Amino acid sequence: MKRFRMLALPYSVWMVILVVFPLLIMVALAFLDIQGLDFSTATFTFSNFKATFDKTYFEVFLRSMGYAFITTIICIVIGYPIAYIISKLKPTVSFIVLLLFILPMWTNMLLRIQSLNMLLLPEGFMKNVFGISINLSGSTFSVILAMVVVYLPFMIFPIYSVLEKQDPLLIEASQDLGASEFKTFRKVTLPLSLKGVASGVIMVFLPAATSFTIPEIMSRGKLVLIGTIIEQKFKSGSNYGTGSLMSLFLIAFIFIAIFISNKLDKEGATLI
Amino acid sequence: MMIKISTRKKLKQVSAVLKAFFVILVLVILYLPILYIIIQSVNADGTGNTFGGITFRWYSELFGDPELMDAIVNTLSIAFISTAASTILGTIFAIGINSLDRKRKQRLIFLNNVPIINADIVTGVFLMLVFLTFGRLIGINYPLGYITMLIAHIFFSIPYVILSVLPKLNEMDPNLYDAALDLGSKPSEAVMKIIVPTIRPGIITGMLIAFTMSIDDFIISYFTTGGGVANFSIWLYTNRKATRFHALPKAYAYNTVIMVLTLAILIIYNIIQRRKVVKN
Repeated sequence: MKRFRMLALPYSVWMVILVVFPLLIMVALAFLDIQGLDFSTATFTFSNFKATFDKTYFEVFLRSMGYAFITTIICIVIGYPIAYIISKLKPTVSFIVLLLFILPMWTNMLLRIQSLNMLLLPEGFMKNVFGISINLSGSTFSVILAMVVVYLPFMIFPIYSVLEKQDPLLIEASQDLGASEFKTFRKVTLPLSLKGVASGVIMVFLPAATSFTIPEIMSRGKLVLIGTIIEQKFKSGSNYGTGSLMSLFLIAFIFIAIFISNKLDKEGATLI
Repeated sequence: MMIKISTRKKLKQVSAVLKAFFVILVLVILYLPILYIIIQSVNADGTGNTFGGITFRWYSELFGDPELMDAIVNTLSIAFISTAASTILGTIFAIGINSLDRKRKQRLIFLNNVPIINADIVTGVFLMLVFLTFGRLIGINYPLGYITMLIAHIFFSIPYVILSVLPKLNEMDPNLYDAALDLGSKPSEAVMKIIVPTIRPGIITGMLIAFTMSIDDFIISYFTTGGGVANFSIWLYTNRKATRFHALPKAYAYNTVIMVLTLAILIIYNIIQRRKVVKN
């Protein structure tokens, strides 16, 4: 099979062009005073650092981490028991329940967020048709709720895939040796499933911290998170210098996550 | 002793009920927005504030909105082309990666994981910067549009195909391929008849993930397109507040159609798979 080695070469080239190259552009942009990508009039500067290390941006950064942290904790608290329950079901039943958790992902994510927002309106469909006025639209709660609804499956799947592969003989052995059901869970099942939890944390925390659609729609334009700022720098405006420096900070965090995930799971089996 | 056993049995029953209740409660919350979408797609009240009876008006009006139709055609064509391209390329690359020595293999798998774990917004900005820079190099000032969005979708789909195919290649006996060559088949024949059938489940999983990611994508598309070329998500994001054109009811209708179609395809695929199992 060695003869296939050359098939990997075009992929290396492709990944260098689309992953490594833009990273280098970003590093360059972070030190430039530049309009768009017009390198001809660009000048070397440290002003992007001054703009980035601003108190308001620091607050935005902390706020994004806070929202992502709360969302991740809720996803673990709900997602772990669900993954555990599914893994204990009969194979045919567990397949159906698992499918029920996958199906919502085939509905457009933006539309799901939008609909969730509509459901929480004080004078909307829920009030007029069912007489239930929820009045949570635009609140912090509604932002977290949307994040949990959208990202929960990404916590359930990696945990489930680890639990499902666990050797049932280990649990039997633990019980034979006199451990109670709870002790078996704490000493055997839980430690062995932490790999899945770590994957789930990465798959929930990063998108939650960097989303700009969920805060925009659910807070009705009030909440600004780090994704909102990057979107403003690159898409609505063209302040690529400051935008690049901020993205580089985010990328530093993301690469730590990729390293951790790579250490835990060399083949990336829990990522899909 | 008898009492103890019966209380234990009861406890088990109670815990089973509690577990089922918990799972169903979470599912209800996950499905509430979807239920809302389906109901609103047939709601005669276009504002969606009350229920005005059942209508199929939004389904037929889908076709009368050229901007929305463009977005839908873009979404579907990009989903199909990028799925086909990333499935073929991803499988070829996976075969290549699998035959590398351990160190190089791990290095490339690491690079392969970057787009999967990376925040969508960063991937979007990355691709935008590459497209703008290359555009400048070949003299196009604003290269963003359909083609760049398509390349972006192929880019973020390939890693999922590779991740689904690699474990199947790992399980495969490498001697099978050599045996086919020894018995006189051409390398291309050996690939198609030995390797591809063995890794087919991985290819299909990768293909399904690629399609799901592409048809739903907003952020990466948003950064890599331009010049008025939109997909459905981008169209929805820009028009979500435009009540005049009944943008939302039409969006609900489109989404319901896609949901029913994917569900139908999934069911048919499963029936075919089951028949095959029974036959064999």
